[in-house]
Amino acid sequence: MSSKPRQGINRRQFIKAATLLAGAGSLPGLSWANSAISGENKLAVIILRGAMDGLSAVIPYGDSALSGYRAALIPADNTLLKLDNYFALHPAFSGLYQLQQTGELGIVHAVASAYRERSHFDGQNVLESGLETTQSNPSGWLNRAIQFQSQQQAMALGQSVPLILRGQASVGSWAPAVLPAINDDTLSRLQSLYNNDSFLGPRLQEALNARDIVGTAMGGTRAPQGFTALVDAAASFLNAAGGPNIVVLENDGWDTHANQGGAQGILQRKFTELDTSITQLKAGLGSTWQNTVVIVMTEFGRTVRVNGSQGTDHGTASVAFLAGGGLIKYGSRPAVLGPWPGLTESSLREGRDLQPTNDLRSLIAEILQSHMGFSTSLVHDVVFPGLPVGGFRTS
Amino acid sequence: MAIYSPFTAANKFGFGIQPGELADIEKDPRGWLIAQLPLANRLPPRFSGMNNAAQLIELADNDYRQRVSFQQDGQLTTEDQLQLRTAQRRATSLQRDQTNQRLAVAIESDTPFTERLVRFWSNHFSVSLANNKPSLLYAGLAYENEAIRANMNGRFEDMLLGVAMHPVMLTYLDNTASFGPNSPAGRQRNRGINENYAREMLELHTLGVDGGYSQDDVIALARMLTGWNVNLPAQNGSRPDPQSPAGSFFYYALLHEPGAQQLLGKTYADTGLQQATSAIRDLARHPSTATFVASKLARHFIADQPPAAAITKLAQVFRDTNGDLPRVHQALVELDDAWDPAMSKLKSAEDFVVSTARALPGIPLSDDVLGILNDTLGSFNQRPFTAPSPAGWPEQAEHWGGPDALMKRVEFINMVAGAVGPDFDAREIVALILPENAALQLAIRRAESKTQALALLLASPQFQWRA
Repeated sequence: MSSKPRQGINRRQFIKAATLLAGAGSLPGLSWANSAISGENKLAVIILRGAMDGLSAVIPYGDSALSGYRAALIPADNTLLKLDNYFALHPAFSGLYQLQQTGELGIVHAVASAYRERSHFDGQNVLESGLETTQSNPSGWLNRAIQFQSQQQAMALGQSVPLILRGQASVGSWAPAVLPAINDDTLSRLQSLYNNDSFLGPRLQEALNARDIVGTAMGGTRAPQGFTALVDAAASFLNAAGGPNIVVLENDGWDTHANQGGAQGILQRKFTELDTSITQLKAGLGSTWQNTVVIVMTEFGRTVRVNGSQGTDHGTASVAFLAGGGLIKYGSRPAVLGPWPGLTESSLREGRDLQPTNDLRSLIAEILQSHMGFSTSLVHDVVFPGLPVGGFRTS
Repeated sequence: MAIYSPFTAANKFGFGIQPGELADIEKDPRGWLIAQLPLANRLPPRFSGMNNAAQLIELADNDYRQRVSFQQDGQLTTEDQLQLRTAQRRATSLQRDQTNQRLAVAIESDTPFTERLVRFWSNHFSVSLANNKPSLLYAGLAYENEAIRANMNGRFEDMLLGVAMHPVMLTYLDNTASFGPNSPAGRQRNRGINENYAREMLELHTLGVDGGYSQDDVIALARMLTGWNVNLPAQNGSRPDPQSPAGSFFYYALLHEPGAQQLLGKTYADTGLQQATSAIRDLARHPSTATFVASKLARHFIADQPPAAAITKLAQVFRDTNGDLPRVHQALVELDDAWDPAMSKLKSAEDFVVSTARALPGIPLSDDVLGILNDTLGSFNQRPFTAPSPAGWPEQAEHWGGPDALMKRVEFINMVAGAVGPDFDAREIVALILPENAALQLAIRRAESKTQALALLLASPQFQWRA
């Protein structure tokens, strides 16, 4: 872990004091008991890279227009994990469903960052910088949130520090010492490029075949992907005395342009992985889970209509998940937060995307204030400059 | 009429373009290459202050003798053990420092064409230091700088002689163990010639295996080369010439085979050291040498199967200029075939690693980073000065692009992209380092993250080839 000394003690103390004095906001309409404001409260951010299809994750089965757009992508009605008479979790989210029963899950639908175009890169830049610009080298919102607070320590679980944690505050990063696994999506994209190369194409294919054979011989499946190890590490770091109280994990492979599947398939496997990792994080954290909030977010959503290759293309609004024992303090609330824009043709953004009804930053701002105890001025002037206060809409 | 693409200039003649270089190169891609040629013998600052080969050979030789004597003694005192460990640590750190600096020179070179040429010739006169020549352990880089780089602006025969008089080559190919059977030392110790170097000089360095020489020619050249030696002590003795530095070239007259020799039909009177010198100069000027060297240059820089006309042209320039290396190198740049995008070469492992680092400017070339890159070269089996045979590293795509090697490249890039992906925008880089390619650019634009985009760019087939 990096140990670069922090700068500007006086200024830091000043801002810290200001943070403590300022009244922290609360999730509108929900009760909230202020817990200790310090590094005691834990935050885990999981970035889903590639744009998660929110309409498959949290299915608005009560919206009569849904099946007209994407019948092939919707699992059978009797397998859905119904949250109320309108929304259901995808059957792969059995762990999240249990958390929902105990008030440890929050779902925000039709949420999007400030970004309205359809490039992953720019979308992730905006998601992580928390700014409305796509300029290339901004700082990350989570770094700005902690740059003047010595009690807040952040760590990136991965080989590199992602933009969200870049900036003036020094942050740690950790990755297992073994070579990182290559994700299947990257390999399949590479294969497409190699298919046009008559010399290298067949050779790469042979190598991949050999890799499958070795994987099978060594226990039926491929060697475990790296995410499991990172989740375990995240739990250990958050539990460690003197360790970071903020961790960031990245999970890729969500760009389901083709054959994304319904009840089973590529996206279902990603859902299962996400579901398992949150369950695993809870188990690993033990009692620390009670002070923890996990934010699961993605750069944008996907088209409402299934495309020509049984997948979905880049869209606008998606779903954000919150999880953690730290949510119990907010009391009872609707299973799915955020106004529902509807799926009729005229409700869709540009005739194709789920229309956003919440700015993701407004949700994060609530968590930073009510869970992490950061001041309104810090959150709205420094973390998300210019973001209106209290902009989050629960319904 | 060829199109002189800046990408060809940088990728095919160099180590791959650095994103900031494009504007400079595209003004005059050929001129950019030719302008580098006068700088070919310049010693990169990273190498200045390093010990010369003689010093490094003496050091390694002493370390080796000490190790052997300790082994023979059996019982080691604490002080002995300390000395052994010190020597071991020095060996490790010398070797690591040299490989790191050599890699860094390629990555940051502003004359990448001449750096490629230095490595081409170093590979033509390949020395492999891993096996059973303990005195050479530290001397690979010094050999490259002294015998190859220093002769880059001269004639081929200067380089051939520079190599032949270099203690590393003489040791590597066993000329130091070759005795004229009728020389005083040969008769006294009942020793004879060792043909190794003479054969490789004919087969690999000059005429080529089909260049028209016979076994008698090999023996004649070997006899002429007897006495070309290194100034190191024999077992438990003093070195043959206490006046000149240990580890340096030494003509050992007591080992030289007396008498005239016939090589390729020409008689060379016994003039001592001059006998082989004259023979070597004639070998350098032999027409077979021109053709053989031309074919190797064309195979290295143009294509695994270069057009015959390209070889003919290069050979002609070689002959017309008496093997003037800068003129031959310039002729390579002036061949239309070299600029033909259909003529492509798969990058060697080293070139792949170097070009990867060049594509990512701003990455600090710290010892840690260079160490990782060198370990990567190790996993690709291309550590410097460890070629599998005196023929050097192979040229063919089949050698570098096997399934396992390809998978290792993908894994390496996956690691690199994972480590630095967020720092780079592959959408911008691709246009600055590779020619327009719609499929690749689309794949990069559609990548689901910066990290994936960078991985797709650097692991792409387009980045594995130089064209």
